[in-house]
Amino acid sequence: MNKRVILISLLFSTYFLTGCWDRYELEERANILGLAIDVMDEEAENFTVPEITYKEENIPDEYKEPIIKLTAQLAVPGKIKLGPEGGGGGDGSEKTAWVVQTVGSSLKDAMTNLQQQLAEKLYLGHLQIIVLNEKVAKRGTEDINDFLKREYEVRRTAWMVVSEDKAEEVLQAAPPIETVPALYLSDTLKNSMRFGKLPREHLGRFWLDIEDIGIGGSIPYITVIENDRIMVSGLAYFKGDKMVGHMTPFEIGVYLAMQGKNPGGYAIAVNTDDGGIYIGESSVRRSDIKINVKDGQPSAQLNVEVEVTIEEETKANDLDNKKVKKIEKEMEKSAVEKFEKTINKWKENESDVLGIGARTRAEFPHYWDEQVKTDENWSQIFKEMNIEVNVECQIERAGMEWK
Amino acid sequence: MSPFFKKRTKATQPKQTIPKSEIMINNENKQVSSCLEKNVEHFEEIFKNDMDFLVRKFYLFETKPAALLCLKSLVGKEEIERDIIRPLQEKILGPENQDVHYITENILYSSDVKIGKEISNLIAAITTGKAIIFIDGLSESLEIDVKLPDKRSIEQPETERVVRGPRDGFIEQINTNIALLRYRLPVPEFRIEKTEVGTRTRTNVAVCYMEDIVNEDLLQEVKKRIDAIQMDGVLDAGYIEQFIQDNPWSPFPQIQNTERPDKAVGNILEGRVAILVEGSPFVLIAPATFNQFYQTSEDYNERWIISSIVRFIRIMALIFSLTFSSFYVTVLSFHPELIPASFVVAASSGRHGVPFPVFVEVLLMELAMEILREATVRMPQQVGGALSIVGVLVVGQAAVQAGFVSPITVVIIALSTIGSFATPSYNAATAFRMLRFFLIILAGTFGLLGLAVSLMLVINHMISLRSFGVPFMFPFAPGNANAIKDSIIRAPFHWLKTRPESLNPKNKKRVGGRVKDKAPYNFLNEDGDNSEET
Amino acid sequence: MLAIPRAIIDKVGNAAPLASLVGIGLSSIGLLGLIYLGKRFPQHTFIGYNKIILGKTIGSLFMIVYLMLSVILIGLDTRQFAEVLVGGLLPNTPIHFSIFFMLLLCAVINYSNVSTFAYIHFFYLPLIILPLLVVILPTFKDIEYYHLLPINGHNLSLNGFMSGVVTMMGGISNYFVISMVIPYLKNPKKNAKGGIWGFFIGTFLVLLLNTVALGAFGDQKILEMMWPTLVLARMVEVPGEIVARIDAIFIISWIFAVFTTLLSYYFIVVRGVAEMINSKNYRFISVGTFLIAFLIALIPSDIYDVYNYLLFLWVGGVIFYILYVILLVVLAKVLRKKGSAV
Repeated sequence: MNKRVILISLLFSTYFLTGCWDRYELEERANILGLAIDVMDEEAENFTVPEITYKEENIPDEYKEPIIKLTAQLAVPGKIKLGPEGGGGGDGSEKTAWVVQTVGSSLKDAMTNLQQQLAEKLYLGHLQIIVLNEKVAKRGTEDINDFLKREYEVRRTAWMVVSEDKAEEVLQAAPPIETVPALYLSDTLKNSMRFGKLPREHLGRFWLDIEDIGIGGSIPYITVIENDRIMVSGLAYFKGDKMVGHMTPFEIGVYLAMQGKNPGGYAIAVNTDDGGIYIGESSVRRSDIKINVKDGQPSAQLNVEVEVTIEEETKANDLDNKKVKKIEKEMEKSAVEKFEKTINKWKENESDVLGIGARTRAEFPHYWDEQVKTDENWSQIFKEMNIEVNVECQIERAGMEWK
Repeated sequence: MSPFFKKRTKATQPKQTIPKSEIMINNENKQVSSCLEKNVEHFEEIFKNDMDFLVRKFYLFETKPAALLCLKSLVGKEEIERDIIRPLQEKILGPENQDVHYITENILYSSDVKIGKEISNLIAAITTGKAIIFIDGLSESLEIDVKLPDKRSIEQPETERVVRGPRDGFIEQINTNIALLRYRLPVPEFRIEKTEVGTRTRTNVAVCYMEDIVNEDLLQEVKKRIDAIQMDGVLDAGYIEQFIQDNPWSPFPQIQNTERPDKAVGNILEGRVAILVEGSPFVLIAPATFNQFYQTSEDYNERWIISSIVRFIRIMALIFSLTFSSFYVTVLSFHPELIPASFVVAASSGRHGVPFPVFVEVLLMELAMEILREATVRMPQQVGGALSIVGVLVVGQAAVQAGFVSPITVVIIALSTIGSFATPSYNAATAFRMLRFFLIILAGTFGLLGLAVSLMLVINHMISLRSFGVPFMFPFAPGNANAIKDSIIRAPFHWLKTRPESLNPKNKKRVGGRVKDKAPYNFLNEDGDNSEET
Repeated sequence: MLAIPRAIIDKVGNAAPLASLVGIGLSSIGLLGLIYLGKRFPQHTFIGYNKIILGKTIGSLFMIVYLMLSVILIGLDTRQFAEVLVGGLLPNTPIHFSIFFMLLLCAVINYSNVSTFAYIHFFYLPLIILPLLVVILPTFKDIEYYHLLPINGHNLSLNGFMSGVVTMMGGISNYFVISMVIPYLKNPKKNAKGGIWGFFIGTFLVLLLNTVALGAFGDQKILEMMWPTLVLARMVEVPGEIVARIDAIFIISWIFAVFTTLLSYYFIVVRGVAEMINSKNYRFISVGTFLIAFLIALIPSDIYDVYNYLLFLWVGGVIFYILYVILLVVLAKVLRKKGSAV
């Protein structure tokens, strides 16, 4: 019997030796760190879509337009030196990362085209950032998301951002300090989140929010500065899978405060009647969203508490107990005003980024099941509903100066 | 049923016996003759060409011819001259006193004297270093133990060094080793039972245990297994180990060996059995569990917090040495998404120009490392030191610079190899090092699946191992809250109140309650309040 | 572990935690019944006392059904395991290998020694629980309360609710192995307590997992996912970036969990068949089980099929288990059948 066992295991081992199906060495993988998706401008650029996924005449009509232009940033293995030797790279990152472009009817089609051009296997395991052109985002992200969700390699902690300009420019921006530009971009976003400048809206959260009933999604909105860095110039917000507008950085602060997300990263400037201007940065924020349904009419009440630190005082030098109270009042007044303005903007665009709909659905299931039912209906209700904002500011400390 | 799975009928094989020495068989039941010449001739016939065979003829009490026979390489010359021949020659007594009993009781100074009649026993006595005396006209002879073998002095054990702890180690002579144990266990319950193993070497094997602690079944099983050994020669304790272990197919040692008397005594006190073998400086300890292989005797000498941390580090090193390189292969060639992007960028630049896949690279480096290790052990000591430095520094550096391997691989291999040397038990560490190849091959073929499966095969095997009926992974599977206090951590002594339950000792209590004395007067406590802190 | 949240939420929506809780409650009735039977027949396994109570023919008939159910479950569970690996880890490796390896792990265990089986379970328990907690705890910050409310679901009928409950019970039905182990325990009464503890730890984790998955994803999103728990593991960020994603840790611990689950069924089958044909040749039976399960694992044509079959089996199995155990308990009482004392 022992001989037979050996024989069988030998037979099996021959099957083994043909193995290593999934082994791709690092240098055999085209490590895509950033993807940018634009709509091709057919007059200005002359790319032709090669017949890979579709035959020209077989393309369904709805896929003919728009044609996606995909830009990918690859890390080039072996180009980047390890360790201190040869670190004299002052000339930016053009050499260590390789930016390639292709077109396609859909994201997968474009990726297939790209694969056709490269020696290495496309690999999305380290995808850091996906940049969408504003036009693409406004047209709807559903189809792009589908591919990314299905692909098991994509990390849910990657970032999806909307670029004001052409998305490819973002990937071509070359920061001089980091060897791989996409890593720098994602670090910019990650750290903004730590400073309290951005909500935790990476890919996983974003997908959750746009697909949930009664909540709108939001992702960072960025602009390229001087071709070598990016600025977080706002937060794009969505209705369904379509981008409908973007907030300014200050409104991100407002948005975060309404959600009670910490740490607070934004400052508010107030001037008192005697001419002093004070800038206070929020440190801790608490919020409470209360929802009420009365006579089939929902209404919401936002109570926000903000702890503020005075960071700067200009045109005056008179900080004391009384003054602080005054500044608090002033801040509350201006905050409520700004909060309401922001909310109105969202209402106008029918984007419920605060998730008031989701809360209503959770807390008043009967109301929801009988009267709202769908996301679309909720958008209409949200547009009309009454949202009351209360802000309470509390100045806690004022740095190293007494006055 | 297909013939493939036909049940084999195990034929009860007749027990294989090894042929005994022909000389011994021929002399079985032969009695000593009363004629001196005949006896001497008979022995000269047996030891005909041996250069160290000595026959010293003399006249007992100046009258009766007698002869002393021995192998002079084994005996103490001085002792024979002083304690045997001198009194026998010098005294002058009448024939009524020419009787072996009288001579034993009144004349000989030697302490270990026996009276022998059978030739075969006398042959055995001569070969183990005894002198025998034939006296003309008597059909009885005297066997006198004058053994004086050459032995080295007691030195520090080579394989198990400690910073804090006793420095004596076992040596080859079983008597010295027993002395080292006795010295630490001066109690009447300490038992040393001797048997002989090996038809040709007739090696003395001693089974040592505490009579009132050891589990009777365990003891009987150990004795039974030792008695069942059939082999011509036993040259080291390792021979015995391989005969009495439970699973000969396992890579893991199921019996512990040690060079340290303190460790042996510690284990005897826990209820284990120590097996001493003549000619081996290693003492076997049975049963052994995995738990014992990362412990040192020093753990008990040092304070418990420190020992616990050190033990934890050793376990980490052991796990590292087993899994690190295969995990590296898996991550780099199958699942680079598992490591941070910046590391991937660095790793891929390090691999620039390396011609092999990571799998082959790691396998080659591991192999090179094993060759280096083996070479260092075998080299003469004067050269060995030089080799290891040359090996590690120059070869590693050159390999990296030549683009043969990536620097990260070198670091990983070095770490995993060094990790295995942190394990106190050499044979357990080697088992893990060799299993590493199995893991690398499966991980290199099936990625994370291969790694997990091979790891589970190893774990399942370890769990199903038994050493003399004790589960190999004892305090972990099956779990035992009491014994776990002396496993990954080494709890303070006042927690270790009982002996390990896995050994099922007769006497369970080991440590009494903690003694809390009142603090003595302290000159800082000027108000005289020396109440004890709690 | 991976598919349960989806399967339950598919049936009951937001009421998944509640349904899980009820499922655990009902399952524990089955468990208590088994323990009661084990105490009544302390020297017999399930197979043994089942023959005593129902008589030889009927008992054997039921047992054949029961063992066949277990073999099919082994096959399908292994297939599910292989599908996850192909889908999320090794896309090009043929699934035969994953199936082969997993069944091999079970087949090489020495079934003649019951204690080894128990030790393996004990040893892997922390290796499963700890990584699971590592995945679950950081996701707490992603839980939105509005995903969990209302706890009785939207427009949920009792029928729908009960089908969710049954799904949950099916998912945790491998506690049945206790019925095979009891006669080998030294102290059945004390160890029954251990069994109950083990059951509650395991089911509590499943409940926690269901709740966290629902809390993080909501009832809508979860239905779009194949394996919500796996996605959950992928969303977790590790501070310090030692490993970029902890889903590998999660997958390894999940492989351990699959192994112990399969081992339970495997144990039931091997010991059960051995007892039925009155043989001690465990190795032969385990090789046979290996081959049959391997073939069964290859039957489903696609991944949707796998889950259809599995759900069908879960539901069918649960009803069979619970009703059957209750029937046995009642018959044992009425007919006053009792096993010999220890």
